[in-house]
Amino acid sequence: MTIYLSGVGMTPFGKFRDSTLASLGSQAGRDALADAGVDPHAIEMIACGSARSGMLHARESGVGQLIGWDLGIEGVAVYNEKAFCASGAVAFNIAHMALASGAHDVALVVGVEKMSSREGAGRPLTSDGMALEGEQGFTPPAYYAMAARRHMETYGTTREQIASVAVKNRAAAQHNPKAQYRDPITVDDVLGSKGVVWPLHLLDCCPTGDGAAAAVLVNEAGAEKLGLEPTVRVAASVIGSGYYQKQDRDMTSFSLDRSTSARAYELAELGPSDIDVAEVHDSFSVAEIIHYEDLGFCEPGSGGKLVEAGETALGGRIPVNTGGGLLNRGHPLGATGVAQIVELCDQLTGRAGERQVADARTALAHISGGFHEGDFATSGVTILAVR
Amino acid sequence: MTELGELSLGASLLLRGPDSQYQLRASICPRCGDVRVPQRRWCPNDSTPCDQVGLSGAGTIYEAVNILIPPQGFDAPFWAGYIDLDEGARFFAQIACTEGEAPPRHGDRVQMNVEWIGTGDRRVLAPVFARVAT
Repeated sequence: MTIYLSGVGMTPFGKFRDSTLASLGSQAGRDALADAGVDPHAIEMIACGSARSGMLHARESGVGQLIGWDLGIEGVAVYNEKAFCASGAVAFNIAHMALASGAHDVALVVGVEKMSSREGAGRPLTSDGMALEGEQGFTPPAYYAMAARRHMETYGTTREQIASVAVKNRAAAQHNPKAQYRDPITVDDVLGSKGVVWPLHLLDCCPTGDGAAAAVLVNEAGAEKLGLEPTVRVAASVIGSGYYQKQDRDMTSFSLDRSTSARAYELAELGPSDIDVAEVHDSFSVAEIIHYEDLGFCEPGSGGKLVEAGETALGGRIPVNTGGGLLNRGHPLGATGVAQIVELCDQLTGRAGERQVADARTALAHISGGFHEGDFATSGVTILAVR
Repeated sequence: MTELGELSLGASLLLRGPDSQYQLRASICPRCGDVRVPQRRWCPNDSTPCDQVGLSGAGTIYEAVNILIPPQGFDAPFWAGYIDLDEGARFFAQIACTEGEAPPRHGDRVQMNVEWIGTGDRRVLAPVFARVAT
């Protein structure tokens, strides 16, 4: 069964005090439905990713139902997914499986988060799986800073190479009107910004914010039923959880990403060299360098050189994070996994404007989600291709 | 007096050994010897029910970083990182480093002490690792 992306939509990402989970999610959903040319009443299921709706807004359950209600969608199956930063990617995966099984033919996927405000005080947003470490002062940038130190010492990766990820992704973001931060920056700006966890500085770290993204998926029966002729197919959608047997992990490489990407390439019958454009989890600048290597875009240890040579910039061999990445488009947790799909769909349909990658026909989205016992809790890899 | 683990796990990670010295509460698999902190009920390798064991807190720094912007409930800066304990478990903890002292780094040998960390109602009695001469 082949699954297609029929339409996508997203809100701008940023800090919007007057927005709500419902207003953000339904705006993105409405845009995706309009893009697909699909009436809300044709939707047969909703899959919704939202990581912190309970902690921040006392809406632990039913975010998908809330958005469906606002869109006038009723009487359908609704699945709510919570997988940290990968919540939207898991929602996409659920919809993909439901359509591939034939259980449903037309699905709406929504990722949404509102982080600029919270109802009442509470715990920091550190992963639930790291609550013990949180008692001792653990923060997500500390994890990536340790990975950066290991990568620098093991492979000679330089601080400037790590900063160049943030500079490259900001350069792309200036062409994305929905990105949270768009003014160009330099390596000196990154290194001169406030220290967060040495060696990472403020501009090495993604911001928090509000936003939503949505996609309409159909299988062959759904496309026929609605008279659609979508051009982008889902070649693979893979989700995995962490590996916990081995404790002395090498933090210069993440085994979970190696396994999810290998499975995705196998399902898509493609390899890393076939990918024309990619969205890669860059919550912290050094992460993108490590992910290049685990996704097979370059040899282990050479990710710093890859970005330094401009190979992952717009116009390079394999442009990465053409929408600005988490660092600059912003990272409303549950929305990001779907926003990556929106960006890649725009790339594959030639709608990316000044950040368009010429002749893009295959695309890969990668996202990590949360931590548990020193490893990531979730990894998602999606491969899209022009049919 | 709140000890590490009571807030997040419902049980302290600290044990008192026979000589009244603090130990780190861990699990050990009687079948394969796998050691975990925090302790597991069943071994993740072979599903055998685990026993409780106290660890002395000797280990080696895998990596350490200086946290400059702290989470709520902590004063910055402080050092923290992963410690590879001699019994085989990897454990995240704060690492002592006074002003003027060389930064902690990969491969440094450390020994666990127990100190108060954090501020206000988030203060907990927790392992803090100090470097030892080799």
